[in-house]
Amino acid sequence: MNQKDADLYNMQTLLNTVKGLPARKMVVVSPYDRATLESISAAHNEDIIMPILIGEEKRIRRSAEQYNIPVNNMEIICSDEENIIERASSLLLEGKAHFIMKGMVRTGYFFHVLLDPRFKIRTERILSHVGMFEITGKKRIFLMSDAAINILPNFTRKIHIVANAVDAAHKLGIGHVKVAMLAALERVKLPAMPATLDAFLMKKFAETGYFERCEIDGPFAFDNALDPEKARTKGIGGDVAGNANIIIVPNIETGNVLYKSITCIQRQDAAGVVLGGTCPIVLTSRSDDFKTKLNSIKFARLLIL
Amino acid sequence: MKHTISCLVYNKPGVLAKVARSFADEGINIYSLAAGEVEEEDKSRMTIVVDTGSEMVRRAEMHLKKIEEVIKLYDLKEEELIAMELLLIKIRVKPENIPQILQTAELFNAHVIAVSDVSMVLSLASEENRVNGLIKMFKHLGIIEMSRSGKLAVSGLD
Repeated sequence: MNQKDADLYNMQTLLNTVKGLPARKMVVVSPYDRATLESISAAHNEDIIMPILIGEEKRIRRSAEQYNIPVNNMEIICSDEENIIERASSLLLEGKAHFIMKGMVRTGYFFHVLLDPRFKIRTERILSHVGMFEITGKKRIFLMSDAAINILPNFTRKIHIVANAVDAAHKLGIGHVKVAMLAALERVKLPAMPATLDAFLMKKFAETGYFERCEIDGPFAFDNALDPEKARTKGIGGDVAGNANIIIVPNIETGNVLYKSITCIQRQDAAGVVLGGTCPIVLTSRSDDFKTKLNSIKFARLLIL
Repeated sequence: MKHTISCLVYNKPGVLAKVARSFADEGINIYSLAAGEVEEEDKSRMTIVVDTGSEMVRRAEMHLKKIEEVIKLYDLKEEELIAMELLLIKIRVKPENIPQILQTAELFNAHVIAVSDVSMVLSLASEENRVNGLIKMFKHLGIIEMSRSGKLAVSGLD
C-alpha cells in the first residue's frame, strides 16, 4: 500500500491488505462464545491466522457444535480454567504463538496473569488500547486511543498512549501521522479543563522529536479534529485540524462512549487491539459482534511482521 | 529555632506596622508574615514566623501585648498547629522538560494554573517542607518568578 495514502482507504480495504501476508499463530483464551469462534474461523479460512484455542476442550467443542462452526482443523489445547491464560502466555514467551486474543474471560484477570513478569509481555511502554474506525461516506480511517485500558492517564502515560498509536499508524502504512489531542474546546482552560493543558503540552513536547514522523496538535473538540469543514468554519488552522489520523481522548469514559456510540448507535465497523506489549493483544468487548472481532484480528495481524 | 506566632488584631490602619515594630525593636527578623481577615470582618489574623531564641520571642510578645489593637496572641507549638503555605511559581517551559515538570507537580500535588509557549505557573498549598521540596526540584529547570504566602496557621484540633 502506498505509504502516504493508507489513511485514504476505507476500513475494509485497509484491513483486507492482511490477505497478502503470511498467516500467523494466534492463541485464543477461552473461546466459548459464538462471535469469537466465528471470527476465528473466518480469519482461519482467509489464511490470516493459524489459531490455537486454549480452554476447556469439551466446552470449546460443544460451543462450536452448537453454532455449527468447524474447529476440527484448529489446534486445541485443553486446560483447566485456572491455567488457561498462563498456558497461552507461555506460548507467546516460547515463540509458539505470535499474538493473543481474549475470549470469555474477565479483562482484569486476563491482564493480571498475562502481565506477570514471568511472561515478559511488558516493554518499556505502558499498554493502551487503539481502536480503528472509518468516517462514514469518506475513504478515511482514524485511530482512537485509549478507550479501554488507561482510566485517567497522566501526561507521562499519554506520551505512551500517543507513541503506541503512532506506531500502529505507521505500521498500517500512514506515512506522516497527524495526531489530535481531544478536549472539549480549542484553547487551554484552567483549572476547569485539565485535558486542554495536556493537549497543549503534548504538542509542545512533540517538538523534542520523541514521536517520529508525526505532527501533534491540540486541544481539539472532536468535530474539529476530523471534519475539515467544521475546522474551517471555526477558523482553526494547521495541518492536523480536520485531518487527524489519530485522536487521543482524555480519559476512558470519553473513549468508551465514543467507541460504543460508533458501534452501537451508528452501527459502524470498528476494530480494537491493545498495544505496548511485545505483541498485539486482540481485546474486544464481550458484546462486540463477529465483524468487530474479525476486524480486530486483522488489525492485530497488520501490526506484526 | 522557628516560632509561629498567631496574632488576632483589629483590622485598622497601621496595625501591621506596629506589630512589625515589636519584632524590629528586639532585633528579630521576620521570616514570614501572612495576614488576612478572619470570620469577623473587623478582625484579622497575622501568622508570623520568626527564627530566634525563646527569650527574644517572649520579649517581642510583651511589646505586642501592649498594642491596643492586638486582641489575642498565641505562640503556636509546631506539634499543635495546622499550617500550610501557598506557593505560586513560574517556570520556564522547554519541550524536553515537560514530562518532568508535570511528574514533579503530580508528586507534590501542585496544580498548573496558567501556561504559555514558554512558561507555566503552578500553585501548591502545602506544608512548608513540601513547598521547599517543590522549589528545590524546579530550581534546575529554571524558575522565572515565585511568590510564597508565608505560613498560614490555625491551632490544632481540640
